[in-house]
This record gives sequence, structure tokens and C-alpha cells, in this order.
Amino acid sequence: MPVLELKDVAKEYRQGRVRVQALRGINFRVDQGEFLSIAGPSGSGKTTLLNLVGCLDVPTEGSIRLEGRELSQQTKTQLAETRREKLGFIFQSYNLIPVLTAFENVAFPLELMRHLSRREIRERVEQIMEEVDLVEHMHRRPSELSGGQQQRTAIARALVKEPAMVLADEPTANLDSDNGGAILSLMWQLNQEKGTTFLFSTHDPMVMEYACRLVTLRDGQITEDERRNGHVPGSA
Amino acid sequence: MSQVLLRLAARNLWRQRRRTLLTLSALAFGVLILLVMDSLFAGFDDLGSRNLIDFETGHLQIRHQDYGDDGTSLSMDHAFRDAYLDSVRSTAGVSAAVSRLTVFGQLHTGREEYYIQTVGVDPAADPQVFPLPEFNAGDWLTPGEFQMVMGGRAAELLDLSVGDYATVVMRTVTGAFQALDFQIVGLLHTPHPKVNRMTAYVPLDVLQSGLLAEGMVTEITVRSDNRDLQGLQTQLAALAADRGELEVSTWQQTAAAFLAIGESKAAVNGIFLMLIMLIALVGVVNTVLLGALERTREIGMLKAMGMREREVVGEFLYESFIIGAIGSLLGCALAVLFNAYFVQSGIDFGVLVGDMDIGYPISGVVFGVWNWPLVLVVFAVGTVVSTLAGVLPAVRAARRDPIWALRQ
Ligand SMILES: Nc1ncnc2c1ncn2[C@@H]1O[C@H](COP(=O)(O)OP(=O)(O)OP(=O)(O)O)[C@@H](O)[C@H]1O
Ligand SMILES: [Mg+2]
Repeated sequence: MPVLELKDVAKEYRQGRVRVQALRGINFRVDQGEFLSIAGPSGSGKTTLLNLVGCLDVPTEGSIRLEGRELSQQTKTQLAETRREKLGFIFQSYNLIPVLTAFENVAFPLELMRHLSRREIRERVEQIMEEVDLVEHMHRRPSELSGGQQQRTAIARALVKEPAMVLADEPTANLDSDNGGAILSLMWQLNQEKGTTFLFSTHDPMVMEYACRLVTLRDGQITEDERRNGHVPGSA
Repeated sequence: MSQVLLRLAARNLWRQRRRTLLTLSALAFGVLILLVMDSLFAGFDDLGSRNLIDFETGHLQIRHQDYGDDGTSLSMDHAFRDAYLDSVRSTAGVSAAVSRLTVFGQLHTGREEYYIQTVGVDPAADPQVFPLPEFNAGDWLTPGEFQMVMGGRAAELLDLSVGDYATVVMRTVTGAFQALDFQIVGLLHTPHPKVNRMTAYVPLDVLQSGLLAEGMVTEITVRSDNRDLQGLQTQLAALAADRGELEVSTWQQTAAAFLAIGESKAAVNGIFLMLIMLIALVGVVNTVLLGALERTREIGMLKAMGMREREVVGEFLYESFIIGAIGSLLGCALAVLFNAYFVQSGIDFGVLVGDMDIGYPISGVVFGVWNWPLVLVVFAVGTVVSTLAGVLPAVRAARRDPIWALRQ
């Protein structure tokens, strides 16, 4: 069973009399463990697509299934529950909670899930902090961390609950190319080690190099869907 | 989870500590003022009723029904033959009773003249009903002697001291003028302005014979330990029923005007309570609104991660609760501190109002009164209203669409 399956998905934005057809006729499926990049020029619909898959919005037409469950019929509360239980998010500008330490930020999604004990939470956070190499700094506040460290914290936060899929809208757009590369290789490594499915958007050609599958959007339609080997980071 | 929300709330408040402190201290200040005002008002009331009972009305009084209607120009018209004192004294519930003859007169010292209320008292029995205050100088009256004890302030104004003579011109029962000479034997020091400024006590028997009013009095005053003054009032009214124009009144009835001031205290409390609620409302709504505005993206992100709307609301309500609880607690603590001083040492209103008649039978030091139930009520109201004030802005912030919020 695919993790994600989109059928004839369309999204239309309406603002007064103006209608924008942001997506149309989108069909694709994502299997467990894929490392997939969505590329395309500005305004092509990347963010719109990620919002739909991320249960933040609903399509005007078509069907989206996440782990076999139809999303387009879900209520707002159900969508929130799906986001909480199944999805991890990495945001372009990190969006860490400034008053919490890195550790507390990473623990937060687990607290939201409400069914883990204090000890389980601590163990899982400590382990993922080790995997993103932040153990040393985990009791600092975001303001005391570099941009790269903050984004690594954000990655840890997205992965700590072992989601069905991690979604990232332009995760490296705020980083320089060194840090961006480091973040990507970290995501790639986690994908390889843990088998977590990643879906991220970018219009940075360097980032596209890492993807094992590259879906290209143009004017709200898929123009290309290319499977490739993907780069092993650092072995260019 | 709620523990995490509480931590988040506390840290967000700390992050904006200047704003938090401002809201919090405004609330604390309101609470403080309300509680201290209440304590001093109660102190006024206490001292006022005590002065009234101890110097003017006792607990119950039998008087002519028109007595006092003509203000200060007390005449002998309202005097009555005192045939009741013994039966009043033997009534159950009466711990002491005395008769007094109060007439208005003009006091001459040779240099000055001065209107004064002359009260004929039974020197032996009177202190059982009207406890003797402190003396500035001299001593109390001896029966059968032309002696006078007067308020210290009046003596000061007239430049009189113990041993001096004063002439009082009054009207006899027949309406003729009569001048009586008294030697001043004592000067009183009292917290009651009227006694202090315009009252002179003389022996009842001397006054009665001087005014050709043997056996006549203007009031019989009763002191009682009985809680049920109304019951006693009915009993005494039956005793004096043969004289239709006599009337028995409780001290509360006599003091009706003064008690009205006490009632306005409740209104003042109400106004201050509203003021506190307003401070809490404005302060907390402002704090939550600004917090929500500054953290729009953060809230959007939290909702994107699947945080429930009621958890977002909960986080803000913890903030408004913390402000409300700490602000109210601080206000109450300060009030208790201030009040401890007022209860212990009092506050000298004499300095402020002098011997002015402010419609309140008070002068001198007013002591604070503890009102613990009100402290609890004010703490609860401050906390609850603050918390509730956060609901609307918090719900508004929590309802925001995360996509919209994240774009900000
Ligand atoms: N809330 C909205 N209301 C109206 N139109 C919208 C809205 N969001 C996006 N659009 C429009 O939908 C189209 C797709 O936008 P989208 O943000 O998905 O593009 P994108 O590929 O993410 O672009 P970029 O690379 O600049 O982020 C654009 O034409 C955009 O103007
Ligand atoms: Mg975009």
C-alpha cells in the first residue's frame, strides 16, 4: 500500500470574483521510504500541493489518501488529528517556539499526542537529538542556536514521533549553501537509516540533486516525474 | 500536556515581563485600594456607632415622639414626668437605664457667650449607661452641687479651665429665662465631636430644681446586652403606653441618617469592585491580544503540528489566570500588610478634618477592621474575571487558519 495517493486532485482559490486554478489533474503516489522533491518555478503550486498533502487544506476536487485513508472528506478536527499523529513538518523559517529549549521543542509534538509517558518522551527525544547531533546544545533556547542548528532541531521535531511522512516546504531556503547541504544530507541520512518518507519542495537545483525522485510542476500540473539514484551526500 | 501549556504560558509572560508586570500591578493596586477602603469605612462605622451608643443614644431610648424634630433648639416642651425609670430598670434584658434632662442654653463666661447643650445627669448611675470618657482635667460631678463637666474643645474655645465659673441661661418649664451658675470641675477628652465641642454635663437634681422641673426628664436611655433590641423595644413601648406621645427607638433608628452613610459604603465597594474588574478586563484582554498578535506565526505552526484549538485557548487562559491570580494575591497581601498597620495603629482623621462636623459622629483615630471574607471574595473575583477576560481574544487567536498564520 502506498503511503500517499493523489487522484485527479485540483485546487482552486477564490478571492471575490478572481479564481486561481493552483492545481489541476494531479495524479501520483508515494511509497514508503521515498525521498521525493517537488520542483517548479514560483507560483507553480508547490506550496499548495504540500498544504493539501499536509492536511492543512482540502482539495476542490479529487481524492487524497494517506496510508489508505481518504483526506478530502475529513473535518477540521480530524485533519488536525491526522497532522498530529501521522505527519511531521519542517518549515522554511524553522518556527521553533522561542521560549522553549531545543529539547522541549522536540518533545512538544510528543506531548501533543498525549499517550506517551514522561520517560518515553525523554528517551525518544534524547535519541533523536543524538541522531541530529544536537545533544550538546539541547538545553539551549533557539535564540542561542545557529540557523543550521535550529533547522536540525526542527528536523528532530518533525521526526521524533516517527511520522508516516515528513513534509518540508523549501527547508533550505533560509540557509546558505553549506548549511543547506548539511541539512539535506541529514534528511537523506535519516531517510536511509529510518526509512522515513520525505516530501519536500524546492527550486534550488542543488537540492534537487539529492532527490531520489523529482516531480516537476508547472502551472499547477505535473510535467515530469523522474526517478533517479539520488546523490549520496558528500560523494558528489 | 496541561503542564507543558502552563510552562509555555509562564515563559511567555516572563518574556514580556514589563507588560505582564504592568497589568499585574494595575490589578494589585485596584485590589489594594478596595480592601483598604473597606477596612477604613468599617472602622468609621464601628467608631461612629460606638460613639453614638456611648454618648448619645445607648441601645434604646424613650423620648417624646417630636424630640429632636426642631434640630438643636431643644426646649422643655418635650420633657416628660419620669415615672418609668424603675419599671424600665426591672425589665428583663435591660442591663442599665438612666434618665437625662437635656436642654439648650446660652453659656456666658463674662467675655463670651456660646450655645451649649446642657445635659442633666445622675452622676452615680449615668456612667453605667454612658461610660465616662477620659478627662483632660478634673473629675466627675457630685449630686446636689452646682458643678459642670464639659467637652475639652468647648472649654478651649471659651478659655475655661477647672475651677472657673460659667453661667448658663436656659428656659424653665414655664418658658421664663433662668440663669444658673456652675463651677467647672472636669474637662472631657472624647472622640465624639458634638460632646467635645458643645456639651456640658450638670447634676440632674440641680438642673431640675433650677428649671422648676422636678421629676422631669427628656429621655430614658437603656443599655442592653440583648441581641434582640426589637423585642425589648416592644416591651418598653408597652410600659410607656399610658403616655401616647412617648416613643421607644433603637439606636439604629436614631442613627438612621448616619447608617445611610454606612450603606453608601456598600455602593462604594461595588464601584471599586467594578473598577477592579474593568482593570482586569482591559489589562488582560490587552495582554492576550498583543501576545496573540506577536505569536501569530507560532500559533499557526503549533496548529499545523496538530495542536488542538482548545489547547491554544488553554495556553492563553493560563496566562490570564497567572496574571489574575498573582495580581490579586499581591493586592491582597499588600492590603493585609497595610491593614495590619491600620488595625494596630489606626489613622488619625482628626488631623485631616479637625473637629469639623462631617455628619459622622467621629473625630480622632479610626482603626481598620479585618474583613477576611471580602479578601477571599476580591481574590476570587480578580482571578476569575481576569481568566475569563482572556477567553474571547484567546478563542479568536486559536481559530486562525494555520496557513494564513504561517504566511504572516
Ligand atoms: N490563499 C491563496 N489565495 C489565492 N491564491 C493563492 C493562494 N495561495 C496560493 N495562491 C495562488 O496559487 C498559485 C500557486 O501558489 P503556490 O504558493 O502553491 O506556488 P509555489 O509553487 O509554492 O510558489 P513559490 O515557489 O513562490 O513558493 C499561485 O498563482 C498563487 O498566487
Ligand atoms: Mg511556495
